[in-house]
Amino acid sequence: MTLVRPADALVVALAALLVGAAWAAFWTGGGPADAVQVIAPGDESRRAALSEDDTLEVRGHLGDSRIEIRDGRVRFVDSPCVGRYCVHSGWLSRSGQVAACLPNGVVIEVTGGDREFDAVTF
Amino acid sequence: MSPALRKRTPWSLAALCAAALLVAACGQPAEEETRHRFTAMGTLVDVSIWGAPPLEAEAAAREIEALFVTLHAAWDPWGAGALGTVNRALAAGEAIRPDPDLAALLDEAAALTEATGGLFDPAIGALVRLWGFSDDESRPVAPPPANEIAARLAATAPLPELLADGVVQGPPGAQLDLGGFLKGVAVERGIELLQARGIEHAIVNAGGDLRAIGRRGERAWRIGIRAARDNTIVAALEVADGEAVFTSGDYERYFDYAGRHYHHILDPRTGYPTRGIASVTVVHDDAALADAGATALLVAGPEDWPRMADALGLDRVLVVLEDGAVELTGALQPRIWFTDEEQGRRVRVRPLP
Amino acid sequence: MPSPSEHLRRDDRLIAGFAALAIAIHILEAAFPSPLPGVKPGLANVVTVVVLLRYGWYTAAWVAGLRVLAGSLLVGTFLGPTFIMSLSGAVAAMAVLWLAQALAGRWLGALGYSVCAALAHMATQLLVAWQLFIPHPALLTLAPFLLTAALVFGIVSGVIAAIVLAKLDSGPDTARA
Repeated sequence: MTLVRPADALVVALAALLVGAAWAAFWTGGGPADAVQVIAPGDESRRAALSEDDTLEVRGHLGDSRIEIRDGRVRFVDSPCVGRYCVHSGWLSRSGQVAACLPNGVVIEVTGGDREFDAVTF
Repeated sequence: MSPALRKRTPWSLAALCAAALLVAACGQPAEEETRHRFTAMGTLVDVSIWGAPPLEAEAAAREIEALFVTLHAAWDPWGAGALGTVNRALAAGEAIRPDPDLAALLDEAAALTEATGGLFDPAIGALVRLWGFSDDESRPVAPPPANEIAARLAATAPLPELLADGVVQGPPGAQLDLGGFLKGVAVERGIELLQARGIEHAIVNAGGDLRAIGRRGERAWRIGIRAARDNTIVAALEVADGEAVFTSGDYERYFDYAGRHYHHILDPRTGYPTRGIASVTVVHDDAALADAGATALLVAGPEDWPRMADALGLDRVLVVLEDGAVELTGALQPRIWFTDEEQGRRVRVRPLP
Repeated sequence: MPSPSEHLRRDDRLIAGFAALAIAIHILEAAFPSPLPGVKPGLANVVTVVVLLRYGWYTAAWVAGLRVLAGSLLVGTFLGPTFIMSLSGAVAAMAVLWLAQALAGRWLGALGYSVCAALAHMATQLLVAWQLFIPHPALLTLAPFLLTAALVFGIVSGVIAAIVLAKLDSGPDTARA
């Protein structure tokens, strides 16, 4: 009996393919931020990948907040609130960063990678 | 194996495995985390609960939401609730006896005003309103005229002078804004609500000011400290059971005008926003003290903050200066780890007097 | 020529010996740190594959079951998460081995069986961990690493098992029932 048979080699090759597929499917590149979670009133909540440039119109209590995704970062571009602290927060790029338009009830949070912290003080 | 044994083996093996799996699965407690997020008190509140059945946890979190909405209405300085009523009476020059709950809070706040030498003083409500930081509906763009600031300062008196035997009375320019203290009280009451419902492991986080009880399963709760203007997490620590972590910073409500940075934490001595320290993070079991303390230390400034911390009995403090340098107390240093190791090596430990 | 009952006793002793070896490997592996509790390289696979190819599936299943139960009792993880993952991994591995034997029978050698068992074992452990213990996306990013490790260890144990089998076959004391 030889140690390795042709069928064995086939199994190993197939297994290697499977494992390769697992890499492709699950490996997020290790970067900390890969998506933005938009929380809004009603059914408007959604998730978007940071890998694709996009502009989102999200309806809140007061009207539409405009959210821009570009170059792996996200920010509020415009919002119907008076204070506009949300817009003032600027670009978010790291996992866990949050910007919120409280009057409009719209929140954007960058997610991805490990959630290292259970809560953040700021 | 003998034929007889071979026949019985697979079935008994299967039964054994199934039984073991069943017993093991039943024996596992529901170890999961429930998170509920809502808006209240003008900020984003996160309640995290560990080790309680999800339905119970969710229900408890919603009770906290209802509690916060009630407290916010009661403590709104310009609203229809208890504090608003007190402010209107003050403005009219009348004496008023606030409801017992508010009265107790005012006493506690007055004690803190004295302990901080006036650096934390809720009686500057009119000044805060003048600057335009009172609500997040409006955002100021320029500082108010200097003479108006001076006038507002002169027209009020420190909180302890407004209280006597449970009665509030004072000059018409005195308005009370308990903002730098009430989040601590609210968070404290939120935690008490959870404990009354038998929940032992949770975090109540009101817009970055939080208190934690218990642990997250096998490890402690991990808190990130986002104490910088660029929204990044500077450091982290694991909180012990019952510790509150409160941060006051110059980047929460602010505007920049003519090259200067104006933020919402005012120095009651000058009427202007403080300078020198970008943020203060206080760790302490008493949430209300941590809240007021963080504000007072910010006002105390880069030179004086250790002395103020000592006066208030705060031994776990982290300070980020405007230039980005980090200082902290000896008690906190071994518990903090920094995102940027370089920065971690450059921190200065400030001994308390 | 040895009597049937002597064959029985010798087989049982050998099987008991294999089971003991598997348990010993299990305990040794428990001492190694791992990125995920309960996820082990699975070198005890060597024993499973050797028993499978010499004594058949039922015996191999018996040995594997014994290993998981006794191993966990001895290490102290009985009924804990580690045990559940070990057990589900072992169950899946045995199921896949049965399938492989039914489909490929004599064509597959120790290496092929070992790789099948190792991957099934690890994949199932990941699935169970994800469902029951850590429903967190971070677990999925670990998956490629762990599966690769399983493949490598599967190959290594397969080769070892093949060598062991070759030695057993060519040895003087071959008990063919």
